[in-house]
Amino acid sequence: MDFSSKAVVAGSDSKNDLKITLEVGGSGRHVEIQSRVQEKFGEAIREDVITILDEYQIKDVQVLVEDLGALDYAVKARVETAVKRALYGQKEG
Amino acid sequence: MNSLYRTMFFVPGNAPGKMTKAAIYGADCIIYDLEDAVSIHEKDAARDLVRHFLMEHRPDCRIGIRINAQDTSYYDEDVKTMVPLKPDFLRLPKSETAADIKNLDALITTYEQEANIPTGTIKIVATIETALGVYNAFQIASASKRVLAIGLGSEDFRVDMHMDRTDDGQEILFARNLISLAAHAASVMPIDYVYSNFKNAGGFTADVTFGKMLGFMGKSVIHPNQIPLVHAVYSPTDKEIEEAEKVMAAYKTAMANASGVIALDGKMIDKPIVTRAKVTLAYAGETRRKG
Repeated sequence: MDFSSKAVVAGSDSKNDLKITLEVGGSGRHVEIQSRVQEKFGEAIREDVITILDEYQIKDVQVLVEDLGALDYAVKARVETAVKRALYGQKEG
Repeated sequence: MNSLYRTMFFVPGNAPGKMTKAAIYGADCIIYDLEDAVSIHEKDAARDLVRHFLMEHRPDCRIGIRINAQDTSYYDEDVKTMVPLKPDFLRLPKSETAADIKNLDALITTYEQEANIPTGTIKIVATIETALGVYNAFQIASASKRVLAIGLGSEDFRVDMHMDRTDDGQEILFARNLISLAAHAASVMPIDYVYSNFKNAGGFTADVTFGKMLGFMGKSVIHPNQIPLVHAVYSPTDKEIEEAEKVMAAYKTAMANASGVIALDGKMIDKPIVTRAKVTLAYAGETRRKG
């Protein structure tokens, strides 16, 4: 999956977490999942990603999920953070 | 769920592994931290993570959320996002005046109403971290009916006071005394400060024991190993329970006989002793319920 400099990142590479790289644009939804438990939980992770993309009505997007054993809530949270960073930017201070 | 707050266990709000595991350590209360444990680059992420976590998981204990201070740009968004999750309380850092508490009270009310949560449901725990805050401790504790407890943030307090730091905390004794006094005067709980050297179990236990002696009703903790040590100090011993039961039995007999003077084993029992016995038995009952 290729990303431009407009891509945003959320999450971490810590155990039980995941890292999301996300870029809004292009044509259609492209979701790639890298996980040790892909066979068993890959579809559930994809559903979590889609749930948040639907919530924010994002139709054209590239998402790379690098999972390190995250639970559903963490997947949804990290995708939501990435989506908000892509749409509204990241606030500090 | 018991009603004790012997341990307020801080868990970083941006660490899914720690958040998921936190409930297994048996703390009376877990506080998900959006403040010091989260870098300024991850405040948004922590807020999202805590929100999704609490929507899907509800540990069987009291839940608090430490929000960012009022002088940060995260404060309003923290309150707005966390109130609909119905935590037992929000913990406010850097509480300095009654106005700080009234400000938070009003903001919680706004978001409670938006979320159709009865006004007053979500309480406030105020962390006092400056000389001005300690000086105003009673005003802070009595600023709102939402205030459940107050406690000292010792590291920032030491910096504000230009204090040297000792492991046994001699330099913060006056502040601890004043916070305990102010809390009891306002009928809220005093919660003792974080003892950050979690590898020193002996020093920690001595510190907890001393805090209980000063009137504190629980302690903020940052490591799972500290939880059983606090519970051991704050749970009554079998001997204390037995003594309290004897006092209450003597008290009830005296009441039934309309006797003005109550004695047990040759010693007079007055009102404070009866009150202490009631508190001991209440703690014992809650501890048994918790299992």
